[in-house]
Amino acid sequence: MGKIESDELRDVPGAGPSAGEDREARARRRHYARPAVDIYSTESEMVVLADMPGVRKGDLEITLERDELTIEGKIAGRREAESTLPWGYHRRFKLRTAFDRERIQASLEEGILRVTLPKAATEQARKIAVD
Amino acid sequence: MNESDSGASGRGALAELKEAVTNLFEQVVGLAPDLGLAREFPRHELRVEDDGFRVQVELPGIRRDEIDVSVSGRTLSISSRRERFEPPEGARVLRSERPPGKYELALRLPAEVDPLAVVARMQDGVLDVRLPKPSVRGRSVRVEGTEAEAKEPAAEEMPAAEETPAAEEMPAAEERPTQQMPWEEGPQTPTGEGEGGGTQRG
Repeated sequence: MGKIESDELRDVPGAGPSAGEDREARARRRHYARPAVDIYSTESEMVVLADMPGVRKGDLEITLERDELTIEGKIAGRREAESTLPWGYHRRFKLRTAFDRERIQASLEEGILRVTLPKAATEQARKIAVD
Repeated sequence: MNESDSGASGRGALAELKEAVTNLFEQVVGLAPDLGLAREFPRHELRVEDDGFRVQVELPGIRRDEIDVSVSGRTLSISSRRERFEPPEGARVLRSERPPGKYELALRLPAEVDPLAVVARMQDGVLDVRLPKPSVRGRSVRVEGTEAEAKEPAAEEMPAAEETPAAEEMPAAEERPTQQMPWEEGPQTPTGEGEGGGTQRG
């Protein structure tokens, strides 16, 4: 586990078992793994790299809702095969920086997801002013 | 003035510490379900299928020419390595979890396989190895001797025997287009040392 710097983002823990959860929610909680990530931040952007082997582009879902970034990917065929390997990956982060949503980019190569989040112009200006 | 300063920074430090502990706790709790799996790194699975075994190994970020796969007797060995990720100069590292270093795996297979029929494929960061069992039918062996000993032109029986369609037992031809693993280059011809000779495939 790397350094913990809490001022730019933090992990949102996964939901525990709940009474009313449906089949789908239970399967996901049990069989989805938390991908290992490398995250770094520069003045202009934040980059998230996540190990998500087995996930194909079309089965990937990345959302930034308010200040919460969710990365999720399903692995085709694993569930049907009742595999002991993960059926997918899921992880959430709370972000403490403003990003330019329109310019967020994601790519997937050899099982590694790369999400680039450009920092909002206001954020950059503010940073510079403080310096 | 000094006092008020230290007081303010003291509160700040306390808040920071509280936050760090919360964060750490969340990370540990979040990781907990994975700890068991992490120990058997790299994560993998061996499945028994009708015609043999199938092994899947998670190797994210590794290209197929960076992996060594070999079968020797009943042992399947897989090795590779991943370089440490280097963020750009001056960047702040917020998380550094993706494990660099050596990936090594030696799996004992539940039964003999046909080392020449093993096929491995790398896709989306997952290595998929299919290891067919040796053909059950074996092959018929021609008994050598002098011409005089073969009275009948046994041609009626022999061709039929030679045609023993052992291939029926094997996976479809397109699943194993090569006898070697695709990226096998020279030194690692997949000859099993422990193979029993004649009982291989027809």
